[in-house]
Amino acid sequence: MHISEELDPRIKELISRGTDKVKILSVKTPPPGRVVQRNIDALATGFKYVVKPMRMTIDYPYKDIEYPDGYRGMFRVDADKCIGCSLCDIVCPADAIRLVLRDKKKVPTINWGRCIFCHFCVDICPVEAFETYKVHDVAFYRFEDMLTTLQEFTKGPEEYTPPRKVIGKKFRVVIDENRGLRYESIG
Amino acid sequence: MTISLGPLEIPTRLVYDFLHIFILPGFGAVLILIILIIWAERKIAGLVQLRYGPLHVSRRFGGILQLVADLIRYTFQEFIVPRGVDRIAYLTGPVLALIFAIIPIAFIPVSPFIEPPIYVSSNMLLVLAILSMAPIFIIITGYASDNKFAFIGSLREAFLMISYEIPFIISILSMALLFKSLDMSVVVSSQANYLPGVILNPLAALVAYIAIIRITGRFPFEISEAESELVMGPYTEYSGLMYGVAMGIAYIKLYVYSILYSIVFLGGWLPILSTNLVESYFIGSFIILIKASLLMLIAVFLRSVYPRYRVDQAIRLGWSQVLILSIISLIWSLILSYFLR
Repeated sequence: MHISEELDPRIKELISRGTDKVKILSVKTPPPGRVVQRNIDALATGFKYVVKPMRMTIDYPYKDIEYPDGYRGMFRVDADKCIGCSLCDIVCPADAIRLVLRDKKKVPTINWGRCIFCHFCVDICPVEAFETYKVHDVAFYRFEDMLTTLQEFTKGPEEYTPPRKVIGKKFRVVIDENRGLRYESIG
Repeated sequence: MTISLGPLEIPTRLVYDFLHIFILPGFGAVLILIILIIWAERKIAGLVQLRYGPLHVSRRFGGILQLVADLIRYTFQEFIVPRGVDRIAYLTGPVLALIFAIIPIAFIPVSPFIEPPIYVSSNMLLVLAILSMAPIFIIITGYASDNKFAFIGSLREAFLMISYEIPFIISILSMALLFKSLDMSVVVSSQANYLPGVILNPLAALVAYIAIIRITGRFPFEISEAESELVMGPYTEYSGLMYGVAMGIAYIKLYVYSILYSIVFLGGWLPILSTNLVESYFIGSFIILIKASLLMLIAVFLRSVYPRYRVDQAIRLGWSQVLILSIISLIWSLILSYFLR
């Protein structure tokens, strides 16, 4: 059987258009010496990491990162500042904000189970009624606890969420030229 | 090279057999070494992938008790037997595979002066024969599970078993040809006279190590249990204690193969200086244990470096390069055995 008969019809069509326009890549296995060299290189790289670990992860509940300013954590609403424009409810992509009536004014409350911490509501608010915190790692005991009332939502997250058990030192992320990231202890 | 003990012959043998089977190269060492080696595997993979690995259980010792916790969990987990499985084969398959993986320890000598519990003059051949039995039960479990992943996994195991057992056996037997004996204690004593097998025949050592990595299902040949393709390969349907058994089989096989390798290629108990009966047993088996655990460490280290071969790539490698290298090593042994008289 001739080889060209086995080819895919699309490739045959390409060839019939003119061989100078068609590039057929042939994959060659590298020579054996190169293969051995590559394997040794791979093993040496792996061994280097075993001997000299470059951990990128932080040992989270035992070490904590100090988050930068503008970090998208939990937030509270200042109900007196709020003008009841309901833009936060409209912009919320996760449908986490629910409006409640208070003094003939629609004021937001939040469902932390739905919130994705995108801070669209914080950004869009025309009177900057939201105050942000750097807290994001909260586990609630019950599903109902995640649906905040307005009374809760006007307080900071530490006042109504279960206490967080982060123990140990705080760390700061520093950019290192050699390894990308480094964690620097503070305090 | 056995020492006669006179009237103390029988009690000494009984004590020694008990120690051999239950403590040093046997069950106790197997259990501890497997726990350590699985921990080391996860820890090394973590280090290479820039993370921590197991840490939470016993933080002070780097999470070394994680595997004990896992073992306890597997033991008390519900063991589900799915509908439609071949019950007898399903239940006995992994257990028989485990038994046939661990039996060869009884035939392997670990000391120059005492024979193993069951002494056979051609014990190297017997160990090879028993070790090559274990994959058959893995194939049976895959067939009995009534699951497509298990069936495909066991078929892959069968293909790869055939393509790598033959080079392994050829490379081990080429060492037997070189030392003109199938008795492991004779093999080790002749390595004491000349050089370790890995220097005399490096090609056979290379082939045997590649074949060990494949037979025990380590990377880059972890094809029959490919997690991303075939959930858990032949053991997909197992849960609870039987899953723990199924997971242990590969590591026990790795342990036994490493002991065989360290005896045949690395000189077994060789830098041994003591001529005392008791000391030679403890020190000799400890030296073998260290050599075997180093080999196991290298084998589990490969997980963090290599990706997985495709089935056809692995089979092609087995039947072409590895088989050819093993035959070349056999010829090299023939040539060398002419000079080593």
